[in-house]
Amino acid sequence: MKLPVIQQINITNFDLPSLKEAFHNQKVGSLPLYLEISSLEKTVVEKKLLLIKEALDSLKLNSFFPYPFYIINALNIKIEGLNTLDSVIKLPKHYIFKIKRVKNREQALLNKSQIIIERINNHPLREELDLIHDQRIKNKLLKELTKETSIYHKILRNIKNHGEKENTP
Amino acid sequence: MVKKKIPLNSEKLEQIKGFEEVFDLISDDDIEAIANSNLPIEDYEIYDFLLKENIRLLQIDSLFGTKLKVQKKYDQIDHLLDEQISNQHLAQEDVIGQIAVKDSNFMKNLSKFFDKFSGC
Repeated sequence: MKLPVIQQINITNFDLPSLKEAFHNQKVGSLPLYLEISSLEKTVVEKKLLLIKEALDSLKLNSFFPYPFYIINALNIKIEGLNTLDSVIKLPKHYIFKIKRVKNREQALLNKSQIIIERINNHPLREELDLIHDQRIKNKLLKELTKETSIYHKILRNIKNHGEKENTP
Repeated sequence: MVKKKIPLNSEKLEQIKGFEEVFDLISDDDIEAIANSNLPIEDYEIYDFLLKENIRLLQIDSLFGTKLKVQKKYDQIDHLLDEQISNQHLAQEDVIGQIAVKDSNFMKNLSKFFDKFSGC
């Protein structure tokens, strides 16, 4: 396994089979990568993004896990399930460093990483992410309900305190 | 017994002025010479990075492999939502019951307000 340094993918043919082949060969998900869409036409960019999403879905790959796959388009068009950015400058600095020859101890860690990556890829990531999304909506609803109930209780407390004050001689 | 050499900077050397002969010292020049020599320095930058990456990947694996499975199996949110909805209705009814009475302070203040603006 290579060091996880962010690298660019160059794709010339934006058709589904070529994209699938490129993603498979470049090991999308196993290394941090980015793809730059140079076109400035909104419809063209949207079409390409949808094709990328379709290719990733058919290969059962995720744009976020285990390693991110960024799609850079200057128009900053976002599509759900894709990790999009508007500029190369915004790529995380964490994955940008000078490649050096790995030593034995580092190779051992890389081998361990490889096993964990395969384990992560075996999880149904799409379903799990949907579950997180649902949980987030429900938790937000619970927070709103709790907040509203707390306001009612506060009003009741104030009414009670006011009534007690009035009754005291 | 081998004498241990103590590296000291110029400030420290001034403090021990007069006792230099007693100590076996390394001067600033000696330290500089050691720093400039081409001795191989152990580089742990990539090792440290990979160690952190392994921890990060293990945390992702634990999230998808353990935490979310437990969350799915013993989900409490629906029960909590039902409970909170009934609590909210009860509290709402209590508030309405308290303020919608004819001689309640709310009604009195409301009637004062309308009286003031209707010019009665």
